[in-house]
Amino acid sequence: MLGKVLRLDLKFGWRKYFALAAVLVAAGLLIPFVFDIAQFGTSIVFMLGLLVVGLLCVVYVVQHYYRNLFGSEGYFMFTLPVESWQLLLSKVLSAVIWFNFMLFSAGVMTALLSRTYIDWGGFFQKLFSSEYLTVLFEMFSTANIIAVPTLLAVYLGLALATFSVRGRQVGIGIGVAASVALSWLSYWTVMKVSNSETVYDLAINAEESFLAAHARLFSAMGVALAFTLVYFLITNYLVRHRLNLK
Amino acid sequence: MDITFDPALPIYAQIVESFKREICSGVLRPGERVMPVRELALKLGVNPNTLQRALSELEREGLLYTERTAGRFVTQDEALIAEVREELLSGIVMDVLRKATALGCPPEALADLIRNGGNPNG
Amino acid sequence: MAEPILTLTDVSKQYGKQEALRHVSLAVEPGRIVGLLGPNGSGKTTLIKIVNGLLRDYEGQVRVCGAAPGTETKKLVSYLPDRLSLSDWLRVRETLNIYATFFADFDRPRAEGLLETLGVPQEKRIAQLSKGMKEKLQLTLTMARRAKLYILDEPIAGVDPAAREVIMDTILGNFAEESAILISTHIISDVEQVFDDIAFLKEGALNLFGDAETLRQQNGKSVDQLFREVFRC
Repeated sequence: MLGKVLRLDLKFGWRKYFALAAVLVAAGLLIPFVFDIAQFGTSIVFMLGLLVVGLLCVVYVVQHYYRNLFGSEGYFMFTLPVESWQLLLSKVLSAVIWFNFMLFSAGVMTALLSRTYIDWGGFFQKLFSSEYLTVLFEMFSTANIIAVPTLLAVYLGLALATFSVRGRQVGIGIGVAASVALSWLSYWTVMKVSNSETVYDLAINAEESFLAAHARLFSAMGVALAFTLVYFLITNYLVRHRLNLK
Repeated sequence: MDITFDPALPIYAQIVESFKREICSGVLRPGERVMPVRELALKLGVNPNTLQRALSELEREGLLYTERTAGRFVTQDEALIAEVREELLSGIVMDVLRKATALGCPPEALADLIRNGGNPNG
Repeated sequence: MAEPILTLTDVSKQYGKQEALRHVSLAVEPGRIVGLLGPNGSGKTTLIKIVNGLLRDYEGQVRVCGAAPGTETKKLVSYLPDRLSLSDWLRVRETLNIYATFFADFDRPRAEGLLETLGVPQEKRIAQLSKGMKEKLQLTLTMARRAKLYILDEPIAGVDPAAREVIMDTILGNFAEESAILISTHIISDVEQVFDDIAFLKEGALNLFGDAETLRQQNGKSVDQLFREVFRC
């Protein structure tokens, strides 16, 4: 059943994400013809553009979660013979899938943008080398470690907002406050436990063995997973016992 | 059968009436097969249980009978049909009499009126 | 006597100080069509949400074929909400796919037949359909499931009288003896001859529950007239 729900969730948004990805890839292809990439790459326009794309993604994910479960569509989704944790997990998994898909597209865009500066022969040779794969692992792990607990914090916040008994304005206030507070909490704990100052510290280490070099990363992963699980369980509890569609 | 029901009166009774009228007037012929409950209920736009109740009543009065595998049929008992026809006619006449009397029309004047086809000027 | 398909025992729901449902108890037997009647705000939708598992926090006991509302009962209950609950960029054909995927009791040939009878084109997107068509689509999806309990929330509100008859016919024509149908409505004339049992819900409390024909006999009135009397402000 989880698979069926997941397929349904993915079906709901794929066009939007593919469109955004297409925009990124197109930008990567076309921009070097018009601008000098070294200059443009750090320009406000480019940063803003990336920000817009990023924000749109966030908006799509949050909108889908909220509308599909707590809006009119909830009258269909919650009458499916499916456990509430399966509905929630499907939302989490589909969001993570889209997030990483967009990261990958951003990576492709970056490669395309800097294509004149890249030794393509060498690049493809080394693509599957442990060095490159490690870098990829570090990048994706770091991004997910920050993003996934934040996603769950937002889900939990929205659930709190929806089920709050005290009226709409207060509910939204509680929801936003909870989302922000919980996101920050998981971020802070991740950083603290892994002894990192910044996100880069998480990813980069100078040790020799894979495990030692990534000690921080792995401890951060553990913390992130713990937070994700806790937020998930709380959200699930709320949905199971406090659900009330308007 | 195409009845508009008066929702202020029990519907099953109106269905029974309607069946009686159709049987007595020959619209439903003796021995004719009656549609299955679900189909007929859908056609009439009524609840199947209500229809079932009406059909059971008609069976109890002998106007319909069920043959186990073949279905439900209109009785072939001509005498019974005639009896029911008499009953219906009696009911109609009593209704007319009542209304005519309320308008101050005695039975003889009513009989004349009837003979003239309802035309008061002969 | 077979076990009731739906039983509510002393069900209440409070929102702060407001009582949406007050100690409601009733039973729906198999093979019966029950009319849940009351004006807007009388608690009908609250009751329906509880039975469907869309409202989880309440007092009292609800049993659908003996089980409390949950994943298992959702397999037995087919629900038609009073609003559009499917994404409107889906094509009609895709909604059939979705129902077939999630509901083992979904009878796809029956659904396709109904859509054809009702004139709903399979290739259009829901957003392109008229209001009446959307209603017919949702009704088709609901009635094409071979469920034990059908719950229809306001199936004929906002629909023109000609379409109403078609909708009532669709409901009557697709219901089996082992199932029960619960229809919630505030429009009673034209449709009351369809009900076996009538429940009046007034300000959250069950004002009346009985056999429709008996009510007609006892009161010498139609259910519609009785309703107007009971709910006259």
